[in-house]
Amino acid sequence: MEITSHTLDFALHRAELVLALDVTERLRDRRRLEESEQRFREIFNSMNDAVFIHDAESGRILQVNQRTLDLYGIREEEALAADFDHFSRGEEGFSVREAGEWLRKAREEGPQLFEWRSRAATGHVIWAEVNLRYVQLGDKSRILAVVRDISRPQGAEFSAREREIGLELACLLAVALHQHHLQDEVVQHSSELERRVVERTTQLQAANEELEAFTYSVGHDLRSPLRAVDGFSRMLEEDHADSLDAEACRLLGVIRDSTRQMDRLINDLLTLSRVSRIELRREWVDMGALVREVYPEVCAHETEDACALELAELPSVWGDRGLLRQVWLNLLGNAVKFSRHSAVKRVEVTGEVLDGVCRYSVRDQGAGFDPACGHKLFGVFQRLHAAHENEGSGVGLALVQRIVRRHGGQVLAEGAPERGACFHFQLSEQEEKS
Amino acid sequence: MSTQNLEILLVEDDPRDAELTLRALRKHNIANEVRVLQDGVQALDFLFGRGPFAAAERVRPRLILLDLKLPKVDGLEVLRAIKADANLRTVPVVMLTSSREERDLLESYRLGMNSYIVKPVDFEQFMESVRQVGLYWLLLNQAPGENREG
Repeated sequence: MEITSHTLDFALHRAELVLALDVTERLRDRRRLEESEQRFREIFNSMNDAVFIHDAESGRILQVNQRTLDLYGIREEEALAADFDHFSRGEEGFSVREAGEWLRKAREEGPQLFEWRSRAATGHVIWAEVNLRYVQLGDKSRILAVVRDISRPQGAEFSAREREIGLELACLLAVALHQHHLQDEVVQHSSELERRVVERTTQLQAANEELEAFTYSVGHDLRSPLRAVDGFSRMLEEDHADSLDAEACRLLGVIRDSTRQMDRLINDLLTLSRVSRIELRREWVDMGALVREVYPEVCAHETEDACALELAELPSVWGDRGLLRQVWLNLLGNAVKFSRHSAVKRVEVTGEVLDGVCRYSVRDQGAGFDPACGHKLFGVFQRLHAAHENEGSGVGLALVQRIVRRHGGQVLAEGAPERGACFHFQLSEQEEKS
Repeated sequence: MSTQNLEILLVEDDPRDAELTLRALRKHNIANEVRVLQDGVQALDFLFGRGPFAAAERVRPRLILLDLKLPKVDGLEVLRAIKADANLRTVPVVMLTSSREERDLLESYRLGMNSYIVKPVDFEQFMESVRQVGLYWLLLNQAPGENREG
């Protein structure tokens, strides 16, 4: 009960007015309020998250809980007096300006959830998850900031999900590291490769120079004694004809034939080695004209009726005229040579252009060859026919192949014994861009 | 310097080639006065009056047949010296070689040689080559400083 007394003048008499009010309800209400406030304060302070209550307009901090003081290592007065600067890192994305922006968004756009890098009094960095919510408390606008520390204290346990994420991250990192390592290796290998290429090129150049010196001395040194053999046997013949009988002259003839053959061989070998070494001098070559020019030369040594030449129209080609002449000389020469004993003495030369590639063919009806031995045709000193008079040195087709290859083309042969042979060679119509 | 009757200086280290060359020259009555030297040093001494030839009167041949590959000092060096000398520069020099080598050919032309002959292995061809060379450079060609009639 709440009892109040009042002294009154009542009809000239002092009167005492005593009022007795039942305030049970009021007291109960107040106690309830106090209890509620106490409960709120306990909850507020025992929360594991730091809570700030801001004035929505000014952003000023009105109240903080115990966790805030613990987390940031400050006292309550300090917290209430502090401005944003105190809790932000001041770096890009976490400055006072951005903090103000988050508050504005919470006020105008609704609750905001974001991560924030803030700073404790001790200076260490706190990674926090911040939940901002605009609330109306009576007639007051407030912003509640619930801040959860998500930086991981040492020795803290990780959840299964976190471990999973961690594992995944570790895998990604491992892959990235591995890739980096591989990349390093690739770089290392390619420089190693480059070094080896340089080394091999140098070796190759040395070998080439050696070969060049060798062919030079073969050409020079072998020819000198050969010239002497030929010359001196001829001198013997000339100066001592009287004392030489027919058999002696025959023997001298064999000697001279042999030197001529060896001379041809040496020349062909030198040509072969030269073809590999010289620079191609390319120009537009009229192949038809070249065949017409070469063919009489090829037939000049033929004693019997010459082969008939059937020449179709041939495409011109971008190549080394001198070398291509050698190709025709050898291919036409072979065709004529191997047709000597055949019934049909005819050499057909045809050509066509397909997709920028010129293909030329030389076909005869002569002795042909066994396709099983076809691969031997282009080897140096390979012969598929017994050596006889005027037989070549065995270098001709090797020379043809080398010249065609130097032009970036290829040679093919078709044939059957006594059914003739056909040689094709292909060249790019235009110079290949390299 | 006297212009004695030396018609050809042949610088050739292979005595067999030298013999064949001399035979060809005589057979075709191209030259009677031929001097044969065996290497590049001898050739330079002879042409520039040095060493064993210091005391002798210097001789200016009408034609020099020079083998490319010579002992001691090679044919290209001898050619270089001849073409660098104001007095000898106008003497025709024919390079003789056993094989056609592009580098040598180019270098010889660069140095101002007058002909480049690959000595044939075949005897008849060899005779013919020497005959033509001698005929051309000694009989047909007019070199400066020569006062030949007919």
